[in-house]
Amino acid sequence: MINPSPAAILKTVLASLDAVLLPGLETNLSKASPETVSADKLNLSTAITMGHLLRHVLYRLERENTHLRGERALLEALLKDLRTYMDAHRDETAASLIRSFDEFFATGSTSCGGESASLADEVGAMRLLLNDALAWLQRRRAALGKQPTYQQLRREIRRCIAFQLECESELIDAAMSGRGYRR
Amino acid sequence: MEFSNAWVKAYFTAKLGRPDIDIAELVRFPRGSSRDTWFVTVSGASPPPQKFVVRCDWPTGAIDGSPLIHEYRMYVCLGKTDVPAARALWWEEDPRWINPGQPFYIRSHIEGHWDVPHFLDPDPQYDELRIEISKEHLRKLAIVHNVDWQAAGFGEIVRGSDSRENCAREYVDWIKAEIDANRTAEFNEAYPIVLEAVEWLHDHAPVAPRVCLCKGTNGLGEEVFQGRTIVAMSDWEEAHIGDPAADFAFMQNFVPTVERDGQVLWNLDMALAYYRSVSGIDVTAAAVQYYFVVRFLRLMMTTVFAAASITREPSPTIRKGWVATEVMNMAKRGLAGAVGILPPVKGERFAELNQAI
Repeated sequence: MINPSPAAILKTVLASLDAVLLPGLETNLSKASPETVSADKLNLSTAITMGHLLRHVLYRLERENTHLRGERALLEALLKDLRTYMDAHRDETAASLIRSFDEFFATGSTSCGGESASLADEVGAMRLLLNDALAWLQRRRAALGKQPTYQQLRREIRRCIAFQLECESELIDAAMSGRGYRR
Repeated sequence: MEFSNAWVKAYFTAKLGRPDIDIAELVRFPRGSSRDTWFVTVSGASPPPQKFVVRCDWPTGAIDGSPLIHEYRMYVCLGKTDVPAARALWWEEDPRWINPGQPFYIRSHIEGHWDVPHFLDPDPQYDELRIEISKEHLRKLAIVHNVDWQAAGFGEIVRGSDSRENCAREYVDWIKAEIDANRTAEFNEAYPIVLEAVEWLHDHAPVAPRVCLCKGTNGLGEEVFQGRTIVAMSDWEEAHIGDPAADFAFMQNFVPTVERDGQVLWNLDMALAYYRSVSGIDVTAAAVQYYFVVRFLRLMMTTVFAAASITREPSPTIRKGWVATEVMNMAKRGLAGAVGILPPVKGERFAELNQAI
């Protein structure tokens, strides 16, 4: 850790926004003339949105790694199962996808360090593979859709989507929900 | 583009050919986020003052990427119909007047206001107001949906389908293609929730009662009122040719459920029955529910565009930052709730997105 951390610096920006800038802009708006009210509203709206996004970035810095590690664990297991299934039901598209999967498994490491950019890149790559595999499954639904294994894989994909969305929503809601105007 | 008093005076002096004019008022519209809007009041030796609306893109373009010329041409086509709307007056791309790459257009200003006093006041004395406003909007929507869209030229500027059986799937596929078009080496994102939603939407696509001009975005904040009368329908960025049920899925408060002392005074079913009586078109509640899901997919299209543009632009607006984060998240959650991956999000949470100063 190198101090002050990015999160700590961000907190100083947020504190000043909340304690100095926003009250000043609210005062300006309360005293606005007809000539300035439009600009004063825009200024205040912009500053409020800045606060929302700064808080969101702060929470991403503080919490995103934990979320991504959880998602990576889910994706690792699921991608392996998807690879196995595609291999058992090969067509031209599956062959190309399997090569992508194998390349990732060979180069992306489960022991990837905790440095956030690398972890985010790794999970980002895994999400793309998941997306492509889902598209492949959907194209094969007519032929394979009644198979229990196919249906199980589809359920697991949806579980993964739910997990990722819940993590993302936590970072959004904490930063913005109930925190004031959006426009 | 910043329109100063001096610049606006010089411009309108030249355009109107009147050396006597002055700028009585120049106001930037603070609401909304899609484009930059200015209201200009021109006064002169001969009353009354004339009011104009100036529309241009933000320096980084519209939030949803739609071309400004498209909006201008929409208003030109609307001028050929009975739809109450502002008139498109002229398109400006003369390099003497514009910033490079930033044309603008002028349209007439329709006196009125987007807000209806007390419409959102839950006091029972305003129940009658809410129902009457809902009916007024449905009457105007009926005009929109009965426009001869081919004769007015809408087919040349808005996308759509002429197939009642396929218009839903074609609309969904178009949205999906627009989302995918944002994917580049620098913005290499994919959204499995979109794939899940598109599959669901294909599986559940309704047959349209007819294919018609659809406004796209409707409701409180989207139209101009004088008293209880809509004098201008505004905000046509999402207009398309398709199933009129799509318009009922974006009504922003204008199909309220009004319940008093255990009696339902107004709801979607009653609104659809009224709409049927004034339009001759049978839109079902099931189709409206379907297009609620399409709305979330459309919102993904707007938000993914914003997210991609942030990645490539040197100075993206804060508005795009918000759209690319909270609004995109809400679009994903809306889709996830619709297709059963997550519990549906409560309406109050979505309503927060519309909180405006």
